Amino acid sequence: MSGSESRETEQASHETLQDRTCAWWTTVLVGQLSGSHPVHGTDIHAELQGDTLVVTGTVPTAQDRHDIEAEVAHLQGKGFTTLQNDLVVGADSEDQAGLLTQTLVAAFENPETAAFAQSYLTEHAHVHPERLLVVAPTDRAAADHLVALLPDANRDDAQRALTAGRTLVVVTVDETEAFKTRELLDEETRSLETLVLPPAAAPDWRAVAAAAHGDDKRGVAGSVPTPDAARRSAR
Amino acid sequence: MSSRPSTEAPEVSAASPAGEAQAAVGTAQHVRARDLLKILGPGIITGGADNDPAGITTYSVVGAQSGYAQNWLLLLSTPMLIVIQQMSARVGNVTKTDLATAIRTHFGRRLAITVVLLTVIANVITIGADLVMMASVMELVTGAKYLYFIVPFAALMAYVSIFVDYKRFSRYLLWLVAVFAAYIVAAFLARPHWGDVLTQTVVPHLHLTATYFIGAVGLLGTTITPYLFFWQTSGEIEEKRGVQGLTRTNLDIAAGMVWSNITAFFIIVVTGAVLFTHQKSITTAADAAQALEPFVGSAAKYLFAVGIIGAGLLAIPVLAAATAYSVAGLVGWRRSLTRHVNNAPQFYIVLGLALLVGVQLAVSDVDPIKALFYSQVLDGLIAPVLVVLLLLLTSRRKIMGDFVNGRWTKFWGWFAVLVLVAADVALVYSVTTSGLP
Repeated sequence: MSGSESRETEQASHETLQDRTCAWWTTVLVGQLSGSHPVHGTDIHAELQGDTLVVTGTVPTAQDRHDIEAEVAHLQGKGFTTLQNDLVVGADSEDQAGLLTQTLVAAFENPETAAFAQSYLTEHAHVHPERLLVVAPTDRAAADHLVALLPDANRDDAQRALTAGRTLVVVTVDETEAFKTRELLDEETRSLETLVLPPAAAPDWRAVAAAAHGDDKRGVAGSVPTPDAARRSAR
Repeated sequence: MSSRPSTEAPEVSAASPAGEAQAAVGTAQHVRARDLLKILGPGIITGGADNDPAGITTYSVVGAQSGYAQNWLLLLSTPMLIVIQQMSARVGNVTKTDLATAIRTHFGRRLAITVVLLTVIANVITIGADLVMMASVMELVTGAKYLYFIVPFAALMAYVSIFVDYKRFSRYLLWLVAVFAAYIVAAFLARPHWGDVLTQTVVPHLHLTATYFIGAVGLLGTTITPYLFFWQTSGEIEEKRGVQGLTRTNLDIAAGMVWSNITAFFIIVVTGAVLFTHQKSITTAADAAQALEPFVGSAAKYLFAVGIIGAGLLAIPVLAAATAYSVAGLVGWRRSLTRHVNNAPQFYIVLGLALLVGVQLAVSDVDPIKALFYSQVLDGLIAPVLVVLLLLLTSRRKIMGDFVNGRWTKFWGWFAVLVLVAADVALVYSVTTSGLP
């Protein structure tokens, strides 16, 4: 994909996300909330209490908290007069992205629920899969491919799940995103079982470590790369 | 390059050569001295929660009955406790899930249900006993009947656990850990013979009496407790501490467990110095506080009250949350103290129910000391099983990769199993020879 195509795709997906976020806030304001927030999922909760829109939950950064306020700013006066932002910024992780990856294998009852999980992971703003495969038990080629990909010790488990008629979602993410990924697979898309492979060294971990170490030596403020920066550097 | 995930041929290997993940983590393990206070989290909270009011009562009884003769057991249990909690944390750091889910995934649903069910029963009984202890010291201080304090205490803790977000909640728990310093003050006020204390702490003393063995079982059962294993793993998940922070996690846990056993040590020193020396017997911590008054004045009563209430305010929410995590993990419900109550209703219902049943036990005619005994028996039976499961989980390269147990962890882990099983055998022996309390 060319650079301009990629930018267009990202622009389009950004607009879609904005539309979906706006639509979500509208459902909150009309009292017909059914789904979860498009970016933060079930980590945040919003409800109207009289003229006040109360937002609670936990977001990863102060910027996210600010973004939420920005999302609802233009809706003020259309169903609520005051915003009560009770969002809490979660624990700041000092973990560095780009050093480790982790692969999760989740078993689902059928291809449809697996496809739902796949799209859920793809669209979630806080998870950036480096690989995402869906392997149906009937797809022998994909199954063989998956089995070859896994470490020896985990092949039997995958094979057993496929033999039992389960559809597998295999996702590899940066280790810093593995908590969120597992939570989404276990608690949001309700996998029957999720197997988490041990953390593995990322392909370019030496470069990432050297970059961070070099920055540390020079005493540059904020030397630890952000997850996105490290991800770019790892690629 | 597109940020879309690849759905074709994989570019990233699911595994790396042995030792490489550890090497990659090594680059992120640097802990600066000025960050030491920042690393304190689930480990230090777990250490504080280890000394719940029921535990304080047990230590007080041990001190009153055996003096300092069992202090060496505390010293011995410290590395065991550290290793067990570090294994519990590592399960969360590597598998990114709670202990109940890890047991269900790797050992099957039946074993997971059995272990969780027994832990839940023991936790709920302990909550009831802890509430009675807290209310009893309030009776001691205010003169009002203890029953009046049970519901307000439980309501306060239910509110904090359910409606206060995890970050503020954990900060509240961290402050309460400092309350235990009251026992250190009390120990110095009691003026023990420090030479005796030191000798009996570093030189093992074994008395072949039933009282001594029951005390030893109680002491070990109170120190190495299953709910702490569940809480530790879930705390790592809440804090999202992955394998890169293992050094920080291990330091946090070591600090927590050392603080826990230092507190226990000073409780035994206080009661040993005053009650054992003067041959006074006690059955509750409130008795201990009352008995201390002639020797150290009215300050002792208030110090004990602050200690017991602080311990309860710390331990009971941890007990209730650990219960909710284990049940929700077993069933697959949403589970997190960071979630709003509407987003994880089942998790919070279990948490609330644990407190409610605890209140029911506390206001009923059930003798709290008997309840405590039975909960410790249950804990004592589950603990070695859980430690074996933890050892198996954390020793398998298939599950842990480069983060498997080292030699010392395995040594102290299996040694802990041996000691816990020996304590169980001693308990069974004492029950068959002396009957139930």
